Amino acid sequence: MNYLKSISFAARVLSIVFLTISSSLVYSTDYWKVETVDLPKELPPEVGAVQFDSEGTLYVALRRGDVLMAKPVADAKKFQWKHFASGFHNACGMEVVAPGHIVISQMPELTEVKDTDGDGTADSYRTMTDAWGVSGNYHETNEICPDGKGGYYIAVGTASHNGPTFHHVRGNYSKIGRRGRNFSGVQWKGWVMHYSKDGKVTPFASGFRMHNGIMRDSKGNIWCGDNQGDWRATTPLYHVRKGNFYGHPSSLVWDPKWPEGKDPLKMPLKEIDAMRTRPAVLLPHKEMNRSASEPVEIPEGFGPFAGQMLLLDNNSSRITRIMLDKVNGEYQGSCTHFINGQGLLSGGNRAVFSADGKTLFTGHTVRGWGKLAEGVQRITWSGTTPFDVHGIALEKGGFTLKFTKELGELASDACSVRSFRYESKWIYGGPMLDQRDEKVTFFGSNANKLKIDVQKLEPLRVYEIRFKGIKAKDGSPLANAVFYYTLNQLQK
Amino acid sequence: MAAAVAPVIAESSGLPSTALTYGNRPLGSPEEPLLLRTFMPDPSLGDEVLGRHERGAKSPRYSAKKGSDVPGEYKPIDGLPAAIGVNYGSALSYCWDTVECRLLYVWNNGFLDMQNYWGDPSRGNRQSFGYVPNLVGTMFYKAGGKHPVQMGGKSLSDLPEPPKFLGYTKTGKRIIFSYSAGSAEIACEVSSGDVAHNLVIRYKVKGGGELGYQSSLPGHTVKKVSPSELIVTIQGSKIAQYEGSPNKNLLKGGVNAESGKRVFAAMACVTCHSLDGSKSHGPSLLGIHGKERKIKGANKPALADDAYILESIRNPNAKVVDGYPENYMPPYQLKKDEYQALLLYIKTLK
Ligand code: HEC
Repeated sequence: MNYLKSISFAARVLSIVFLTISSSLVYSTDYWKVETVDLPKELPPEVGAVQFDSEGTLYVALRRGDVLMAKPVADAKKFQWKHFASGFHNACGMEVVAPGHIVISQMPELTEVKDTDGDGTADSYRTMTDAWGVSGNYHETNEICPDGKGGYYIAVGTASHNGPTFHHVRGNYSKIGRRGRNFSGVQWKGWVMHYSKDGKVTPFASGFRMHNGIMRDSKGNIWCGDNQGDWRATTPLYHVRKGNFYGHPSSLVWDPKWPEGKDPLKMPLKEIDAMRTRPAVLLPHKEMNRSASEPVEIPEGFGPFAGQMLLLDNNSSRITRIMLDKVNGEYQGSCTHFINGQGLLSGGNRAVFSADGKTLFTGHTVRGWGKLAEGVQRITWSGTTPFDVHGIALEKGGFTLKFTKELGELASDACSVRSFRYESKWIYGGPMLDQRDEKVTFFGSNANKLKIDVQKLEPLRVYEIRFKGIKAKDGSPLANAVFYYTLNQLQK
Repeated sequence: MAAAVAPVIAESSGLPSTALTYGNRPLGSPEEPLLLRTFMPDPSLGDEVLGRHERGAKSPRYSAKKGSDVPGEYKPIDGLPAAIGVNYGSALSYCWDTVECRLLYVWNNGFLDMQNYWGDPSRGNRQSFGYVPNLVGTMFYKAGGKHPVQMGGKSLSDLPEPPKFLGYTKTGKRIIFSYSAGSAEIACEVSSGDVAHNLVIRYKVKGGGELGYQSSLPGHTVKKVSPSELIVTIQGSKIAQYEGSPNKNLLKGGVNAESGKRVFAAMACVTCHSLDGSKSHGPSLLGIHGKERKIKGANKPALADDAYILESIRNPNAKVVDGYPENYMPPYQLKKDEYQALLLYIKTLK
């Protein structure tokens, strides 16, 4: 056995012991600290959703069906958990309307849950909508975000060929939609639906595989991640707009305008490609994010990146930071690590900031598959700003990078650029294609800005910007060495 | 197998005794019922009872590697997609369906064995392809025929619009389901009677005409409290006995590739490992035996010999295959012979 491996195995055994003995590990880093928050030890901490109410109480939905709540306290081991509600089938979406009043998206429906008699536990469970089908497949989970007007967007996930469907299903069944690896045998799998305040449900956007996480940002844009898999060469981040199709074909069978009997899986790739809206940001699988879950917008109070987005990874101990760039009126942009290891659990599923913006709570689960990927954690900023890239803007002929601090001297080989593209097709995941090294020249134009000229900039490619040995003027090393910019359009 | 003991929730924890633990046989009590939404077993209810459900069908096997169908079929399995299970301890368990808006079956002396959905805590993972729990106990009522509730003399099965589930209230030990049928809103509460296999169901209607009840099954007594309220008493009798998840001996017939295939299926390894070379959460196991594997953090590859494969299953983090995550494959607690059988099976994947 290789030495390194035996260390990591020993560390794993240790952490199993820690977790089961319900200890909270504190991992200090200079910038952001990750702590594990203890839940009642009797309950499997498979976290479907985390949300706050207006009084600062944290609600945690567990996937077997219980919803707990507690006011966060300084000691992560000592939250006083109370039981609020129970009985949900795979509760993977939650919004808090008011203290004692929540909305849960579970496998069969969207449910309004209320404590009407004020005894601290829910007593009323009202179905808001069950406008989608249920095939009996474990993979069909749902997530929600508010629409800003009292309604919700609902991300309805597809089914997986790793599980069966039933003889008797709820809702219409499509033999054609049932075909494929991840599939849409019953209605609205692979769609984003809109539930308006008055209870009307309308299809909003299609073509998703597993958009396990949906978010409305402070400007009113809707964002979804998706998971690498069939029709997803790597993990994408989508800007979701009404009427668009996002590339996974199975959901198309439920489009009211879809021709009867037409099989989306038999369409030529070219046709599908022409229909689809591309991801705003592509997150290289191995390097960045294997399976995006909930995106969150960074508030003030959490460090230098307020207004940017964080994207959890359901499949690694990482959180990705997204830096959007608006080019010709459309979002595209870049990504890098926010947390990579540092004691973060794997299985990142949901995230929510405390009202003061100082703490990010994360909920973790991988279908109950592993203790090391289940639980609640919290991340706080130390108050120290790291030396990092703050944003990347596409220019004519190159990029301008803004840093969080003044740059020090640059060696001639301090920056290199490589590019590649991805192809969206039936295969589960896909390689970086047409990889090439780019010719670059770069010069620090301003104290905290770096301009990189790239000789060959082409649309529909991902540009990898890599730094070597660069330091801030104050001597601090660069926190992240690699950045990926998804170039959908050139600057007009 | 299938540990029947539910870890007890300490009273000092402040959690209700019905909170769902690692145990696979969750239970409520007469004072504190447990309501569980999950896929529910379908004890052959039949098309008439499940008349508001659509029919699933078999589907051609598909290869994501080829992007086309391949020989074989996915066959549908039995299960109820959107029903609710309720348990009052050993006294009463029932299954109420949100699609038919109807009581489907009732049993006692047990509830559900969730192993198929939640996995076996003593073995560390899910162990089946389907996610439908198994019944535990004695079934004494099973719905038959059309919906027994009538509005204006017509079975709800014959209304042009299906009834619509509206939700439920849960206060103390009372659980009341409500649903609409036409312009009427019907409330339904199920409780156990005073004698064995006896059931009491209360129906109340708001708006929309006179409530009726008609069942072709024996043992029903209908008491009309008012035009808008009915109490139905059902004297059931034993229909079937269920023992939870079968205690399958996966190694029947010896330790060989054949039984290894059964262990592989039972442990749901296929959710992460394809057998045809295509990618998934974990590497495909097709042809790995005897090959060199690139290992994360190691400067030379490891040979996938017997010892390597056994170690990969026992201690997934010991050597992490390059390009795949650590802390992802669950550690299993298998019997020694089951590891051996898995190895023999994996060796046949060529
Ligand atoms: C939750 C997903 C998951 C499940 C379930 C799972 N594995 Fe794995 N497995 C992985 C991942 C990811 C890797 C690669 C990382 C590593 O080496 O740990 C892996 C690696 C392996 C390897 C080494 C493969 C190679 O390419 O060298 C073997 C053998 C293996 N698993 C067997 C099994 C068996 C047998 C089961 C069922 C008893 C199983 N796995 C269940 C995720 C899973």
